[in-house]
This record gives sequence, structure tokens and C-alpha cells, in this order.
Amino acid sequence: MRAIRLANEKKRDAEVGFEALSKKQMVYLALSDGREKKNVKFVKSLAKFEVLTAKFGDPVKTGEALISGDPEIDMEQIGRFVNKTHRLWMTADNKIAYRVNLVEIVRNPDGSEKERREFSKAQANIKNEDIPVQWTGRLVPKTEAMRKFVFTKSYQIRHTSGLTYDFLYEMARELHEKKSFMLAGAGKKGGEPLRLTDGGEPYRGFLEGRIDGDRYCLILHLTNMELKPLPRPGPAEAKAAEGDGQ
Amino acid sequence: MARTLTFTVKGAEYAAPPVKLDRKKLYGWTEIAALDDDGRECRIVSMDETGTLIIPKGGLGLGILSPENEWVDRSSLKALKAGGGEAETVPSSFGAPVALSETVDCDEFFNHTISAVYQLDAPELAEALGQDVYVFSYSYRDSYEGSPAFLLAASGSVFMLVGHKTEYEMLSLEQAGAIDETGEEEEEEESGELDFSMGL
Repeated sequence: MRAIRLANEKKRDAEVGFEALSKKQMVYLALSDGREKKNVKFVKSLAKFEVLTAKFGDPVKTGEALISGDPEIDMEQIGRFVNKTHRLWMTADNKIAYRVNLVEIVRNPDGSEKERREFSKAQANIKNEDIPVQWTGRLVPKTEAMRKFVFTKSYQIRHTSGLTYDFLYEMARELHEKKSFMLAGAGKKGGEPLRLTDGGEPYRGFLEGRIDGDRYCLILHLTNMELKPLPRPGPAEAKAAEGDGQ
Repeated sequence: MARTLTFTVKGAEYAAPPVKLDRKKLYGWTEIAALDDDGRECRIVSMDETGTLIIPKGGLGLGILSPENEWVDRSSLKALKAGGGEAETVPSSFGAPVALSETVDCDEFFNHTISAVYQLDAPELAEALGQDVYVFSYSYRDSYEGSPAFLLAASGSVFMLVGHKTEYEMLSLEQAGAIDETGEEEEEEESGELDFSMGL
């Protein structure tokens, strides 16, 4: 269970745990006699067209080589099982790049480039000692949240001691009674999105609370998308789409 | 041509092709490019654990072996239910009209985590749905397991949200957890609107 530092309405904060509850597999694939199968990774191909072209001179000669033999197949290596792999960068000359400059390219919904900027890995912000994840006071009724946001991740928040049990129970009780979600955000005012890991995707976080007697359930729902229709295409785009369909 | 889903609500049929929605289509996206010292784009490849094999993107295959390490063809596998017995085939939701009869409240809806969203351009269906949220089992193709899907009207459109059920626990005082971060690797002006572009 990972840690998150949460603040309540009174700006008191505590470190508590959170965990993703995994999806139950109801159906699985087995061998025809019902025994368990083993999944393996193997080398399927080592050759790239560019590498072969560099070796044979041009695409025509590469094509001739492919017809007359199997230059793309390394008999010693193809089919070999692979357990663990490491990722690395390769230059356009097919050499290992020992140093690269990472650039973040921002694209518009149509794929066009909007901006290029130096890549900087944003830090996780859910366990900040000085600035906890804030209880912003912005309530969204559940019935409204259902039609407004797409919640693609959710985590159960769990107490780690008797004190944090009281702390979380109280939050869950308030949300249960108000039948609402509470926006929970990073930063001093809670306006910043949450990042669960270093370099991870930013999400808007909402807390949901349920109680049953002295038991509680506090859930952190995450969303990075509103539930809204796609913008209608302009006349030119619509015409192009019509052409594609023919 | 896009395939059409047909729904039956209160005795009437409504058909529309679902259009997949994602964050990219609404807000755009970012991608990371690696440039060498000459500004030329580099590509990512894999290296095996021995450090001797450079495997290009798409160069790894997935295979299935028996406990005796014999190659097994995927088509020879059979689907079994976790509780025992062979799984039956669930027909594709596109094959026949989907009869909508079961509605859910928001508590049941939020017991599910959403993995895919589709928009359906069907104003009459939106009207028929009203404020109700219908649930049904969705299957893109003939398969062994459908996914819970919700159909609701919002912002003048119809949306189908496909997900999976999450079994949350009601916790008592005795059920305290312990923090374990080993598996971790995985000042603004107040305004009425939340910014969902988040840095784009």
C-alpha cells in the first residue's frame, strides 16, 4: 500500500495509505487439457528495413536479396526466448545513443504541433511533507459527477492507525451525508492536478465517501477527461471525412 | 464503414455507430522525442539481458508453452471460468439489438472504473434515456466475457462508458493497513472551471 498525505476540512493532515483494487479475472485461457499455460517472449525479428538497405546499398538491391535468400533472419538468434529487456535509444545511423536531449512535443487534437519544450519530469505531489493533498471544499454532487467526468482510475484509501481511522471516517461521513464528491488537489489551494508518480500523468482527484455503522469507505477517483461530445467538424473537415468514407 | 449498435429502450429501437472518445481527441497530447547532439531524432529499441541483442520495435513476439515447454498454438487453448467449467461464448453486442431494461443509481455506477468511452450521435435515444443510466454487458466481438457498460445522456449526446467492477471494502478500525512503497514504480487563481488540458 502506498502513502498519500491528505488534509481535511480543518487543514489538519495525515499520511494514510491507498491502493488500487485489481480487476477480478472471471475467465482465463488454459491448455486444451485444462492445464495452465506458460507465456514467453521471444525474438521475432532483429532486422529493420533501413539496416538491410544500408547493408545492400538501396531498396531494389535489398528486395533482390530478400527474394534470393533470408538476410533478415538470423538463424542463431530468431526464436530465442527473452526474459527481461532494457530500453535504449538508437541514432538514425543505427548506433547506440549514449546521450540524448529529451524534447516534449505538444500536439493539438488534430495532430498538428502546437509547441516544443524541454522535457522536465514532473515530480509526484501526493506525499509532500509541506503541502498535503487539499480538501478544497468544492463539492460536486455524485449525480452531476457521473455525467460530467470520466473516472478511469480509482483507489481505496485506508487508515494506518486508530487516529487516522477517525480522520478518514469523518471525511467519508461528511461526503456520504452530502451525497457528493470533494475535489482533492495538489498545491497550496488544491488547484493543481495530482501526480501519483514522478513523471506520471496528471489527474483531477475527487474523494467519495461511504459509511455503514462504524465502517467506512473512502475512494479517490481520478479523471483526466470530461464527459463531453467531440467538437463538430468544420465544413472543410466534414468534406474530407466524407471523401474518406467513399 | 463504422459498425452500428442498436438499442431497444421502452419498446423502441435506436441505432447509431459508436465513436470512441479519448483525451487526445478532446485536448490534444504530448509526446517525448529524443534528439542526438546533431538534433536528429533517435528511436527506442530493446536490448536483451545479455546485452548482446538489439531488438527493434516490434521485434519481440509472444508465445505460449505447455508445462513440458512444447509450443502451443493459441487456437488450441480453451476458455475456463474462474469458478470452474468451460466459459460460454458471449456474442458481440453489434450482432443483435441490445435490450436495455436495467438501470443503476450513481452509487452502483461509481463501483466501476471506466476504461473506454464512446459517443453515439442519436438525439432520439438521448431523449428516450432521459435521466436514467442503463447498464448492459458489452462485447465488441464474440468473446468469453462481456464488460459492464453504461448508457447515459449528457450534454445533449449519448455516451457509452465501458469499465469493470471494483470491489471496495467497508473498513473497520481493526482493518488498518501498512505503508509499503516498494512496488511504487509505476499558487493558482480560483476559478469556476477546472482546467482539463493540464499543461497542453
